[in-house]
Amino acid sequence: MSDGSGRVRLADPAGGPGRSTATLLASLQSRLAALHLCSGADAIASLTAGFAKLGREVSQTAEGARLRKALETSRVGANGRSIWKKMRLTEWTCGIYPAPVLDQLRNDLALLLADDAEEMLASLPIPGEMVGFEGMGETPDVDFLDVALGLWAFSRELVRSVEAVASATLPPRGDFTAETGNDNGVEGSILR
Amino acid sequence: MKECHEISNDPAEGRGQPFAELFRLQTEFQSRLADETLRYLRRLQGAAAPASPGTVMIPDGLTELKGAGVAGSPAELKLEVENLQRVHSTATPMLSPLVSASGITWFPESESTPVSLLLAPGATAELRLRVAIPLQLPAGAYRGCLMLHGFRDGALPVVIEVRGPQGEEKKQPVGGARPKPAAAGKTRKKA
Repeated sequence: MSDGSGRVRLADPAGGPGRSTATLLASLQSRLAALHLCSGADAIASLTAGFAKLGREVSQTAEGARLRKALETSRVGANGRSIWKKMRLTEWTCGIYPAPVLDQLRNDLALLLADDAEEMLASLPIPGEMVGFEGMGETPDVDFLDVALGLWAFSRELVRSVEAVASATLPPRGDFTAETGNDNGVEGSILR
Repeated sequence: MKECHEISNDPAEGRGQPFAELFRLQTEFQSRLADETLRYLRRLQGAAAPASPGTVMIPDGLTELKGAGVAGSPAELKLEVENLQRVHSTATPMLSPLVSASGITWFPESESTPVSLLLAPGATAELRLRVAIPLQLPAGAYRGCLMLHGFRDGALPVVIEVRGPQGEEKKQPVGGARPKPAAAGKTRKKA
């Protein structure tokens, strides 16, 4: 076995607002405000399209491709596609902006961990940015398998994130507490 | 004298009528117009969607992430990740399928430690990716990329050089593997 090592840096995309507590709070506030301006069907369609986009990305990885192939060749794939088609779910989600579900999850997580969250909350409302022309691009049709894989990837990330956030203060498994300072024994009618 | 045309509600009966084709085209046009209008309105709606700031991955002066191992044993890849953003970032590594010059596609089984990184602003941490090399995988250089899942841009090219078990080693140089006619185009399952 030999080692191969590399180094990468995580940075803000060029030309964007960048990730800071203020911009993440503004984004969350805008997302919540936008819910009042669109129908429930559109909101769910946008989330569904977002999961499908994530699923398409995950399908390019070895693990995702393996899972996709397994689903595709089983009854799940055939039934899922039939139901999807009959319920006209492609038409429902057609052309809708795919919500960046993973970015949103990670941004919300970063807000929970921010040390200046209280300070920034006091300065609300902060104007949020809109997607703009980027959101007007053509989006491929939403496919059942893409959504299934997207939900799988999102759920894994969600579980890992919650565990990672809790890990710093997580008590060990099998931990117990004992009441101290009471040497009088157990009293009461049941255990007498 | 005025000529009168009768239009039937029955599509089969109306097929021969002079206006039937016109009505069919008209209906199709209206239906298509409604679809396209809806699609356009949705695209407009997309432009007004709230932006969610994201992350991009920038490789630090590295061309390829290299690993090597003997068939039947694991190869290890190490990646140091630095967070230049002002808030916490999460990085989850995922390997793409790897392909050899002889056309073999390998869907590697990999295990990352930790499974995903939660990095504080300015922090640096190391990810270790253990890639199990199937015993029956032919020797050669397998190329693909390492993606940090969910990031808008960037993937790191990866090459894993697989050597045959001791005694039957057929080492192929990285990037210079010659095609094997028997194995070309086949996907081997892991042992």
